[in-house]
Amino acid sequence: MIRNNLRYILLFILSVLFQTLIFDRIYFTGFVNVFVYLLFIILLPVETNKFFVLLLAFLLGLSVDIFNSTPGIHASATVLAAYLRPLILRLYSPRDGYDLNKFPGIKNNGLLWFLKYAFSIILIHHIFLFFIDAYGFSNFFMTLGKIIVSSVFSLLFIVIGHLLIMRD
Amino acid sequence: MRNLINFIIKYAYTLVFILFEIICFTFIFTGNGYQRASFFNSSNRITASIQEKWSAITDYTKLKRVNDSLSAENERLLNNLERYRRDDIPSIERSGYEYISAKVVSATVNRKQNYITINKGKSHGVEPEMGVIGPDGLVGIVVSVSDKYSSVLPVINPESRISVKLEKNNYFGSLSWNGKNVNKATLSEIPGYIGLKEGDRIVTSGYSAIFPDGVPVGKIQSFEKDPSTDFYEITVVLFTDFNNLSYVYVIKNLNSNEQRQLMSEGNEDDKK
Repeated sequence: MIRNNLRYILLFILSVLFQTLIFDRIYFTGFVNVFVYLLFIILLPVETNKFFVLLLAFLLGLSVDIFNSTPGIHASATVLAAYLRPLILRLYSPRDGYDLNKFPGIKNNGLLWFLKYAFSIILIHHIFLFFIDAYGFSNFFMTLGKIIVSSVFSLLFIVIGHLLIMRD
Repeated sequence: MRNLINFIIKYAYTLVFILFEIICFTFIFTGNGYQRASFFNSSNRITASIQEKWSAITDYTKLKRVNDSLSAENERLLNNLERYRRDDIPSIERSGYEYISAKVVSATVNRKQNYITINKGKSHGVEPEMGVIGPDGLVGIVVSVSDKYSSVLPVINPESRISVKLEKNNYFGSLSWNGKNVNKATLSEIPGYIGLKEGDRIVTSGYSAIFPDGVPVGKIQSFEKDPSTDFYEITVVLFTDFNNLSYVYVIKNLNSNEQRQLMSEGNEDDKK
């Protein structure tokens, strides 16, 4: 249990550092923004208290905000994604339920399941984030394009991160 | 009864969620732009020092480009110096500016609200509203300072407005950013009766007391006339490459207080 907590503390720190020191520095056509830090919220154990998940999401987003001087933007999007996480988990619930002691990863639930689950969380986060960042709905179609392309890239890096850091 | 309890539990969850969002949006609406809470400043000590340590590692990947641009800058400065010597121009009377060299600790480029953090702050004499230029030209304006670090509002932030002019005929306008491309900015307020061509150079106007006259900004890529206002809408390719910015200079205007005072007195006179 303690070992597990330690792992999540490490994952939290790594998510913030990878996001702010690497992915936020990469300029890739200006169209693609990758948000790998969501990996932390995605991999939290299914039975984690949902209030606690909200708090963690708030702290996670806030940390990214502080590094980026973007007050509140990441925090609000991450809190929304965390708020809807139980709903998404219920939506994609396997027939015999989740293995409660394990985290929702590829090994426990399968690749296809993980892709659906992670992509839903990423999409919610990105839609919210990009539309706040774009100040309302100016350039609606450009923002929409950014959301879709960025979500796909975020998913790709989140799967890679998952396989590298928390395989089992 | 059980349903009621379940309902309350569910409701509490949403309530807590709404509470968090209210906090976030308070940050978003109060914390933007020039009056940002210092907590969110990229110049705050902990994040800036982590970023500085990290940039010490990653800077090696940029060395070649940084060297190239610094050496090109040296060449330009040496040529200018030589010209001054040859023409025996008397030293400019009481030169008004002083430059503080600084290193970029972190710079975001793929946000709408981009900021740059540099490793010089209050203790080095940096103050808010000082101009910042790089080896290739205009970078931005200091918005807030801590003891050792400062954050800079670069041209590539929608809140940036900088007074610039056409180098060839001194017509001046305002440079802003539309949030789309990290290499391009928009120049407006240039009257439509002026002849323009692609490649015309844009430099700072020197009217604002933040930048000296004639700091390179960029060159015209394309322009079109807005028929309703008869002003040009000009796309400018910026000289500064924000992706690879490593060293910058903070500009300290030695006469700035005097100049500002005169300007504000002037404005009051206008009102009278």
